Amino acid sequence: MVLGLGMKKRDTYLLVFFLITAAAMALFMNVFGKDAGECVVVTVDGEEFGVYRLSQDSVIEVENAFGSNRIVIKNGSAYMEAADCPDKYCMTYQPVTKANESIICLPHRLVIQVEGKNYMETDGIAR
Amino acid sequence: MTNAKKTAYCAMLTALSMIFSYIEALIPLFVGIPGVKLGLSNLVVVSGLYFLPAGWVFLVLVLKVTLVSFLFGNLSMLVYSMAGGVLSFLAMLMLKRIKGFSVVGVSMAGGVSHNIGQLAVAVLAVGSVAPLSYLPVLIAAGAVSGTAIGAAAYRVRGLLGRMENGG
Repeated sequence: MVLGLGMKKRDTYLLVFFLITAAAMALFMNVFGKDAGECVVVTVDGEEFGVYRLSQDSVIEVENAFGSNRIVIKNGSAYMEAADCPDKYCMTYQPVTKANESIICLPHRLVIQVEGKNYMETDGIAR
Repeated sequence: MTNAKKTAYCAMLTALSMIFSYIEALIPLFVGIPGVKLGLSNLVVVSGLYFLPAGWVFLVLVLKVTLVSFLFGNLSMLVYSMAGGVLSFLAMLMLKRIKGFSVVGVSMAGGVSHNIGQLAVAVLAVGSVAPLSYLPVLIAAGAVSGTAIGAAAYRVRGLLGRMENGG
């Protein structure tokens, strides 16, 4: 018994296993793949909506059957300025700047994903 | 236990879990991280697993998810809750059959697998693996909330035992 919560030894091991797994994954994600961001890729329902340079300030309006979102790119970072989704979680995200960071608007099936240099090269876009 | 008694318990547990879902919707505990919550109504499902046959508990789960989603949510909530609920039910049933785990471990597995089920739906919904960056947070949150719910279920079991014995 641990802490009088009815926990057995194996329960405690399981808790520790979950917490260590989570910490290791978080560490891995932070150490690898957080290269400098070059562009943001906006996808809606799994389809690419557009690719935009982070170095160029812009306002992207996305309107479709799911609803509307306004994405702003400013000073090398991107954020959701407005959205008409019910929960508005997407607007609470911190601005994204580094590769693999993303902002997700689940109700509108919209993902803003920052990509590094590699994405620009493989996609062949140079603007 | 007679079928009539099982039916009565099933109805009672469904009603109770709906109230828990409602209370939780009123008082969000972990504000700021989408999808992270205590999962109060899981207390009913976990407890149910210890005094009702699994099939009846599954019925409670399906009724709860369907009724709560349509009363307080929408169709997409139904899909997310059902995926999380069914996966968590299966994980809890499995762990319960492995020796050495108490209701706390069972509930913990339920919490984590519930979040993984919902995340899987999110990945399918947006057609991108971007939501996976939430996996560490959701695993940790599921384990912690599962432990809290499991500890509560441990206490509830004690009380229910006394009730069954006419105390």
